[in-house]
Amino acid sequence: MPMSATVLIPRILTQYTGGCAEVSVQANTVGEVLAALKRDFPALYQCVCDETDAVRRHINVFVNNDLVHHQGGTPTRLHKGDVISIFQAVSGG
Amino acid sequence: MSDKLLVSIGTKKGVFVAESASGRRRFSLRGPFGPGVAVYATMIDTRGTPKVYASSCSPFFGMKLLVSSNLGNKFRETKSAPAFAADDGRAMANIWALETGKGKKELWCGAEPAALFRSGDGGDSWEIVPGISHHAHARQWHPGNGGLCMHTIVRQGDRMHLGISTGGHYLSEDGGTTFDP
Repeated sequence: MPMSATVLIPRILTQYTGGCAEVSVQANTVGEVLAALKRDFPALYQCVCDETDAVRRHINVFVNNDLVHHQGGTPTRLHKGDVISIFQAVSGG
Repeated sequence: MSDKLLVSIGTKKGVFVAESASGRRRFSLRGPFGPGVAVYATMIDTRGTPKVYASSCSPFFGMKLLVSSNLGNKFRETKSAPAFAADDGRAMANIWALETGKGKKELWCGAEPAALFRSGDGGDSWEIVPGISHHAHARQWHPGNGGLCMHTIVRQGDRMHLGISTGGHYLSEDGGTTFDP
């Protein structure tokens, strides 16, 4: 049974969510979150993932404080209360 | 001489639009539009109501196509940008060339990785052009230092010349259905 997951949207992408800085989707894994975004917010999804459904190279997806790539990628299972955050990767120099 | 001169300028910081009266002694500059995002291709479409188009390639969020219907005072995103099909295996990296087509709404777009797209509605929807994008040679092209990009489209009637780095020069004489090197 999918659970309700909160996704935090970066400010620059809220134009694709009707101005909402967070959205709720029904999902058990990060992959299912992305699939839900693809269905419900396709313009937002295209900013996060490319046509091959891979997360874009300079986009980071966090579950709470943990980077998804380091957790095992989009199959990462979610737990009740988890918050998914989407960030542009930024580095200094 | 026309009453007004418009120049659209693609830069790494976005698209700028310069405007001058017919004398061309002074230019005013507007922009950047799509600020902070590189624009590799711009085009002023003078068919019907003039439109300014600009590619807008964000390294974070991917490809958009911007369009202005008021001589570059304001831009909006088109309803969609050219994109590969999910089962194609390629992902859009950039738009390198924009060109007008037949009638008032047909547009052509050269992309990276090298592929050609066509719109029949002024840029709101796009379809890949298989004659070159799925050409027998396509999967054998290799990127040069600047990437594998279709950077040049030159059209005259049913003749269309394409420049691809580093695929070479391809020509269609049937309006973009088939291409030969």
